Amino acid sequence: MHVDVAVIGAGIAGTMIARELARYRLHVEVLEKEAEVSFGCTKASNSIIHADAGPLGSNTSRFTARSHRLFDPLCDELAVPFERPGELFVAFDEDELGWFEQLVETAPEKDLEVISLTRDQVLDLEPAVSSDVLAGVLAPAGGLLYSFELTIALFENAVQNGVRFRFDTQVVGARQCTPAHSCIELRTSTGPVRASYVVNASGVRAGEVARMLGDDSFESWGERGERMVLDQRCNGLVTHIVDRSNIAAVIAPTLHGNVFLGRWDARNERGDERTVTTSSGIEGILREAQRVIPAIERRDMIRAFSGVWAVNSRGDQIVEASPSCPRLVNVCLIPPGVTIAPAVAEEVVGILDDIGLVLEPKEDFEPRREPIPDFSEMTDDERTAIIERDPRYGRVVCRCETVTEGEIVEAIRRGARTLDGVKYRVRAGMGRCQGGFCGPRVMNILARELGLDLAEVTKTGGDSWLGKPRMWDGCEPRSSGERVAASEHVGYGGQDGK
Amino acid sequence: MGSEVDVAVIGGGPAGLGAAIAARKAGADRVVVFERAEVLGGVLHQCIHNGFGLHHFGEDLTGPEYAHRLIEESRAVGVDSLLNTMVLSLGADRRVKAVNERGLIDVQAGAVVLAMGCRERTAGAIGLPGTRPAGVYTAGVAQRLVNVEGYLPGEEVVILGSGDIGMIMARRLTLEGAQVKAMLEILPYPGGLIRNEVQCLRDFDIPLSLSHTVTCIHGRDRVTGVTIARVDEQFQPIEGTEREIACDTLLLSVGLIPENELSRMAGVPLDPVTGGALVSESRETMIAGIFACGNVLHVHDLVDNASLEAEMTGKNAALSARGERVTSGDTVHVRAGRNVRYVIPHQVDLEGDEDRVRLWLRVTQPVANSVITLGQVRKRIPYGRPSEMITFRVKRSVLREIAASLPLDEEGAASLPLDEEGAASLPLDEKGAASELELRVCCDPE
Repeated sequence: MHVDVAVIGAGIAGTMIARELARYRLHVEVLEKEAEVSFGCTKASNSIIHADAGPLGSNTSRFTARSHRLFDPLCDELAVPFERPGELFVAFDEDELGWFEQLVETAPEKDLEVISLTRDQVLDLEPAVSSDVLAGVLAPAGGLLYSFELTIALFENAVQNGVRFRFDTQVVGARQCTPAHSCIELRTSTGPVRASYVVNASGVRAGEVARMLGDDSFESWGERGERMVLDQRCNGLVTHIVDRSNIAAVIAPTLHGNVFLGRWDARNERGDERTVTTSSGIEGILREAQRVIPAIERRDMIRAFSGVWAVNSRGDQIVEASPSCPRLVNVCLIPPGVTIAPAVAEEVVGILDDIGLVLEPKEDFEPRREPIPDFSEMTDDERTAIIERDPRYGRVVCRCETVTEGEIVEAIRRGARTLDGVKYRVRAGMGRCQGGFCGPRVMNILARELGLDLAEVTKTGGDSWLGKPRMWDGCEPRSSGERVAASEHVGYGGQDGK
Repeated sequence: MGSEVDVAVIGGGPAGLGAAIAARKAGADRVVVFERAEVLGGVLHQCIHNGFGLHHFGEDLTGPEYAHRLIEESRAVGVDSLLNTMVLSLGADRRVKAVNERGLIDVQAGAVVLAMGCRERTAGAIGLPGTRPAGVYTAGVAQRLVNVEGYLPGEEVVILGSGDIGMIMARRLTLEGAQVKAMLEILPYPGGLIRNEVQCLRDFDIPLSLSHTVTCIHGRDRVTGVTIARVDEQFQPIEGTEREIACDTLLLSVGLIPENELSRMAGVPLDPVTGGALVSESRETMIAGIFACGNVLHVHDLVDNASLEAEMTGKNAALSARGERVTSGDTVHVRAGRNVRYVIPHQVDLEGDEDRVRLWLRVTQPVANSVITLGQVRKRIPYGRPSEMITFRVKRSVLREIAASLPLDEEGAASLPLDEEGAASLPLDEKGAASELELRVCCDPE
């Protein structure tokens, strides 16, 4: 198969680039090793659109400034919830005050609006902040969204406009076609792809993929950080994204009324990308967060998770035509990847144009994406109307978040293939019972809609199976056979009602 | 719809069905059960083991058999039911709004019975460190997968927590050919009934490790193992006791939480200990005309007890719907004292049809050869475990005597001199407990 552009990776960078390329008359294919979009680094991103990032003159700083001009129209077109509560930097020592001076001084050049605050002004704005605070800087541009919601919306809109996605597809080899570097041939776990141009947006693995094509201009690896979500009863504890010391500790509200805690510093050895949480990591986040907001309590934690992000040997965003491989564009984003993604996609299209890709705008490009109907947010009249049209919207499957079968079927129609894919799209299983009641029902709906056996339904694709056919269904017991036989006459069948 | 019903029952499990049947029998004309699943009977359908109904039906039944009998009886006495119907809101005015495939439903009820049951505590709620792969299930989800869907949740299983469902599932999975490698309990004593420990664990050689917990979950896509460790008296893992167990499944049996979201919506005051409503002896909550029974009120050990409670609740709901009083007005509060975790009901009548008041309580710490006391009323118990509900029956005439003998305070209200030590704190209704008579149930060594 020959395509104009192959994009490797369907995280925030890959989907943003794919959606930009969807504006043109091109055959674009996105190759993703996971089962769905955003299942790599993106799904565990902190979902904060930082007001400021990177030193003046860095790519990070340039892309951050540009992206802030793109986010509002983008989220509006894609119907992705986005708010700008503002980012409040707080200082607790002299070093941090020094950093503030620098921040305020460079702000005009970064196109960044900042407001210097005294200690009392900080405490007026965020009464929960520790009274040990020395001063603050407010950057009103700081925003919140859910990275996976944005990524899924970009995916849907790209598909709507003709981009094709291939999942469970890992690039395992690549070479430049002969003669005269006319294209690039990728070997993947699901067959070969020939592409006139390749955008290498494979995140942590970007360096590895570049080396497959003889480009060793950079290295990339993963780093890990732990994050925590506090119960909705903490809603209102902070109203701004509160950052200590240029993001060593982050305490942020979320769009669903929880509170998010995180920190930037990596907790692992280079190359350790296990998304693992540890007691010491969780305690560390809590301790740092409590120094900023003393009212935070451990018992409010409802979920801890671990995020992985890419880091590269240059310490700045890599968005460039490969210096050694014609027709290859490398995109290796380091934090804050989601914040800079819209500007990066714009730049990638410019680079492709520069290196010879013919960009002919599509007249019928549809920038708008319709959101999946949200039953829980509807008025009674809207509910009555949608149930009349499709009775499946009258069947509540997830009772904690009030998600109906109609919404779940629509999520699957738009590309959800796994239990987590459904959860990220419509919140089924995200509530207080964490899928205790709806899990098996969503599994059944997935099996029915995708024509699968229940044993083929997974949590996140790959080997994340959820159930196996029972032992007695056509095969011998695999273990404990003797024990079962021996105990059948011992005590089975007593008064053990529960 | 905008119609009126006498008694609206929210939840069609054993408690809801029992209440609906009793309400019909007590003369309520229109009794409607709102059930979110596609069948009545609730969680009983996935409890295919036996041992149900010994008290209520005098027979040893499986869960589905027990459910079947209740469903048949509810039909016979003319209970209406709405299946696949989710109640979206409940008001203190007993207005019920629900939805199903046919549209929105809006009902004004004379009385409401809350019977929504409970849910399981999850991995997130207990903050297990490690990865978040597939293969971590609550015991009830695993039970549904095996017994209803016909799929095995995994082949090599570790179970954290020793609640009853966990023990039942240890046996179930063993019978299905899976290997249950260990059951861990963070407390120094088992969390379920003794008979389940005997019949589900010991009879199947399943090792139970007390004072142990999981300190890390391993695996990217699917669970590949867990690290376990012994814990100290503060439940902190003891360094050097860690051990890895290879497994593909981790089941959690770490407690049940009453599902009171609708109760909160209606403004029903809850007991922070049970997680259920504060109720009078009639099982009326602090909001007139709204009743609660079954696991939404407090987690029961036996469905038979839930049925017993439901019968009384349904009858009182029918009375309330007709405008009759369900409480004499001459009442005393009952509170948990030394080594008692909670007592149900929170309030008892000094006048009533039945000669004896039935109190249900749980001890806080396991005890042997102890005595339960309420004033001068004593009940000896050979042993008591937090996991086993204790029935304590007290003569109403004795309660009246205790009440009459109490010294009166300046405002003329009686108050019992109480020992505050070890007392569970319980917020009482807005009337305030100080002006009302209050009795305390304690459990002490004999």
